Amino acid sequence: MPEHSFSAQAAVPAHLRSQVQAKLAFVDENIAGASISADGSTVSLQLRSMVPKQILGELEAKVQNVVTEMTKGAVPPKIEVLEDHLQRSLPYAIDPMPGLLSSGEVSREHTGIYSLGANLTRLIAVFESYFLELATEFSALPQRFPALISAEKLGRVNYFRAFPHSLTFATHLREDLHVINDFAEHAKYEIEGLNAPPASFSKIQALLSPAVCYHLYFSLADKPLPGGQLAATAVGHCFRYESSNLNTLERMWDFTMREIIFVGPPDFVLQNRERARQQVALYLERLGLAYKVESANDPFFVGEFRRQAAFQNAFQLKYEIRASLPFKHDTLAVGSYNYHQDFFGRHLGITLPDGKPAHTGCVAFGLERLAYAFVCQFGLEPAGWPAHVREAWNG
Amino acid sequence: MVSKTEESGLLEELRSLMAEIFHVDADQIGVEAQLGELPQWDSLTHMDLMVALESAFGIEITAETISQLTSLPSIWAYIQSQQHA
Repeated sequence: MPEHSFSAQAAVPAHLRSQVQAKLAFVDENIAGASISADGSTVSLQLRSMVPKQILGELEAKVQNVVTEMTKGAVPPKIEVLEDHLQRSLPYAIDPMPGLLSSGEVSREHTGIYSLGANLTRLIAVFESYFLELATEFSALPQRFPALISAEKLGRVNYFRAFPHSLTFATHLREDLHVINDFAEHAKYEIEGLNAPPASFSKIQALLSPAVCYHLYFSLADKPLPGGQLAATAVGHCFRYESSNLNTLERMWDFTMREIIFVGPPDFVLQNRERARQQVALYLERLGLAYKVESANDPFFVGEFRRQAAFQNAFQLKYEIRASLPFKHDTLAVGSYNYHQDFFGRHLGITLPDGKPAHTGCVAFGLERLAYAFVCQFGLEPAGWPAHVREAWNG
Repeated sequence: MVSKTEESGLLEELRSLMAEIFHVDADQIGVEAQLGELPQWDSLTHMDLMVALESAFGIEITAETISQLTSLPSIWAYIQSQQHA
């Protein structure tokens, strides 16, 4: 694969390196991968094929724009570590993916799209039974949400501006006999996708949902919050396109999240978020998981990144549970504790009894990622797992 | 010692800067204006305001300070403390 390296106009600070690197995948379709040197001074691009010099120049200019936009005037974040259990001793340190794929326990359908077999499915059910118990402690009402989400509603909460790169659109053939017949006759999958002309498809009215809690906020929009506060829980598929960053079970296009969601006055949301964190810490200790909880920011796209990430960090709105991946000496976010202040309340007109906008927050767990981190730390064989997990797994 | 005239000059300068960032008239910025109370003062414009304050008043705003400067009085007091430190 051809590679092209050049000096970054603005050195990328260490705290932004992985986030800038991730965004470079979206700069140009010629880019298959990107890396930034440890000192932040050099960008290396892996290209899908050789490209003419002029195109290379344009591509480099686009990369420089992204680097500058994301780094100029960036305020160094204050990283707050709430829990650090990364040093827990672990019985396993091998990359589990080859074993998971060869045993059929994980099956890759397409880039970022994976099916899980019986062992991992039952392991996720073990985690789920705990999360449901946890939800009960908060009297969280169970909900079921669709995989599709309204484009109109996502627009109301500025999602398109904040995360345009990761959207996954739902469409259908236009209601037109010629279009439908033509599609039926000629549609086939070619190298990069279906060969149907773009004009065959409808305008976008819905997308595949990028998060679970949004559905709850949308259902509460434009009216007073019943009872002045509520807790709810749901599990659902989430869809976030990550381009060349899609990688095994670590970063999937289609994944499932369990969320416990709080809506009400600020104290209600913040106290419950903290109580949930303390409860989850006890559970993760019982699991023996090596992890830390530290402040984080959402992966906003380039134009919004600097301001939004700095705001989230300054107000400590997001904390991630980052589990150790021993085989690569790295960590992976398997859950998060989030506080949105009155963002959704204001944009969606969810009001408290005093007429002020409701505050919202959620505790979210990426189920495939949690299972993946668990087998990274304890191996693929249930015999190597903590006894209480194995017992629950056996049913 | 800061004179009353200087204090009120700073306040007016601040209101005018905030009005520019929030795209509202300066008289809509009350002396007790707060992040979230004024609809135009949200997470995005708050960060724009922080950047504008740094360049307009030659002060440094850190990650710790961003979450404290959430009202006109707190910003006003912070600028005064920085300018006379």
